[in-house]
Amino acid sequence: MEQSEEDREGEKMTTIVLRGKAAVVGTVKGPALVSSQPISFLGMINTETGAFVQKGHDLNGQNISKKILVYPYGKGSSGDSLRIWRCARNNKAPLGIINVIADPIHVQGALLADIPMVYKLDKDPLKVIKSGDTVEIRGNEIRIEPA
Amino acid sequence: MYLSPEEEKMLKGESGDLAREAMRYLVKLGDAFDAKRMIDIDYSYCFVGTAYWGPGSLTKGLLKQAVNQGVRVKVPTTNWNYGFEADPGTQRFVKIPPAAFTQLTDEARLCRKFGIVPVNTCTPYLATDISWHPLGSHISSVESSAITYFNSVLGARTNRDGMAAFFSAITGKYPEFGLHLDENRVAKYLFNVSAKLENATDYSALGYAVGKICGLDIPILNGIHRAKTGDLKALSTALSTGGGVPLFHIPGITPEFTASHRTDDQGLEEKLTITSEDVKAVYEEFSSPEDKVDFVCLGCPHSTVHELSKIASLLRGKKVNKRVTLWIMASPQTISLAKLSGDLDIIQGAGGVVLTTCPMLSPGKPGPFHTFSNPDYSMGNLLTDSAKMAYYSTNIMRPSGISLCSLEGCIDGAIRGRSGG
Repeated sequence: MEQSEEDREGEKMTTIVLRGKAAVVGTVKGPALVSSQPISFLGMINTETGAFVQKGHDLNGQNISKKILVYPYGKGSSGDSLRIWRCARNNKAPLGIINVIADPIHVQGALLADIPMVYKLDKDPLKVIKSGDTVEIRGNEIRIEPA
Repeated sequence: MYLSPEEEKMLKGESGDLAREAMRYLVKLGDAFDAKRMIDIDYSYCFVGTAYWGPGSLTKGLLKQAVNQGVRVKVPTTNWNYGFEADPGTQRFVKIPPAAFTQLTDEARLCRKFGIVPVNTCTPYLATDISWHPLGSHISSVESSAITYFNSVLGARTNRDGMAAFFSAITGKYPEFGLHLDENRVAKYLFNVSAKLENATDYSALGYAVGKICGLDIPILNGIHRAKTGDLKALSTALSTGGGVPLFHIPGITPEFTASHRTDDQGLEEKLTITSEDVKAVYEEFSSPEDKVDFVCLGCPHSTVHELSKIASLLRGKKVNKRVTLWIMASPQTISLAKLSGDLDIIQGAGGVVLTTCPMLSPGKPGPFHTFSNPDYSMGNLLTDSAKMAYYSTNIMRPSGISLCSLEGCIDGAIRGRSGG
């Protein structure tokens, strides 16, 4: 991890940079939505609205659409590869995905939908990133601007 | 990644547009996991015509391209459930909107031209072979429960695949990473199972509990000495529901448990015990406060023929309660065997409905289409013998309550309209 000071319109901001492995190469920037729990799109996410609807999950009541979705790993159904594509077709997909470890099913969905995805970062993204932080994915690197 | 001349040719489009698209996807997937090369696969089990959640189908578009370009599968390939009942006799039990029916029928027709063997099931390993002896075979498989069964029970090698399986069917190739490599098939966890496992639902509960702990990692389950095919099916399924466990080893039962795996401290990060209390906790997680039964759902994943026989023996001379809907899912092959054995007549005669569909994923649902987004719909109080069904049904079929219990308990509940003693 590297901390760099950047001047933005006269205001000092600390940007945190983490490096990892791009599963889907791309550049994207948006607000982070962080979960400490694994995610299965099946049953948890309404692919028509992006709404997260699993009671007992820390993202219950949130919407994943246009977010940089940060979670430990994908679990459960292999149909998630199609569900991630379906979210994108409905314009309700996350902007980007950051995982601790990568489940091939979620990678295959992100590849279909062309959603930038990074995993295996040099610091635990679940500890470094807070929901509402602005996060940019640039290939193998992510840049975090704390809210 | 190194590509052979044949693979380069595909990537350059010399084998057609679809092969180029497929190879591009597989190369990107390989790059995501630092694969060094492609490998030849022996078999693909892929999604086609399975996921009708609205207009527009990715797989139909790809199948059309394939058929138009004269592309056929390169390796023996089977499909997941089409998600609809071709049999007019059972169509009346599932409400499928005409648009979905047309699309899925079109896809079924395209699949035949594409060369897919239409097993129409989430349990292809019960319906057919994979052409090669599975142990050590490289395959590409969808369906989280089948992935774990193929890897663990049959010793075939597949990652947790989604659409890559379709592209592998087109090319016969798959990037070499993950569970295709020996070093990634070694366990991280050792569980000493002291829980008494009396039926497939106990295995389902065990798998769900272990899956939650393991996530995507591989466990050894020590202390299981004999298991039915249905038990191992239930275990595979629930491991991929509680978590995403793609492979497990059981000493004396699974084929890859060899001298290279030890149950002492070697290389194992975690050693844990699963007791009867842990299994009981899963039953308690799926335990409706009401004992009234409205819907009984069995066959998640699809029943074995022996499970259908068991159901028939429990229903012989009995009737399903008039207030209760009993659905039992199985593959068309299994159902045709049950027809020959007479078990199907007994089940249907008692009021049970036997279907090849999946009430959670296909448009064939007990309630309105898009049950998922119909907040008013509820199937009532659900009784099931599968932790997977219990877990996913919450938001899809919106039961007012869910109870997990043994197959015997489920049939008893279907007859009495009440669950429990």
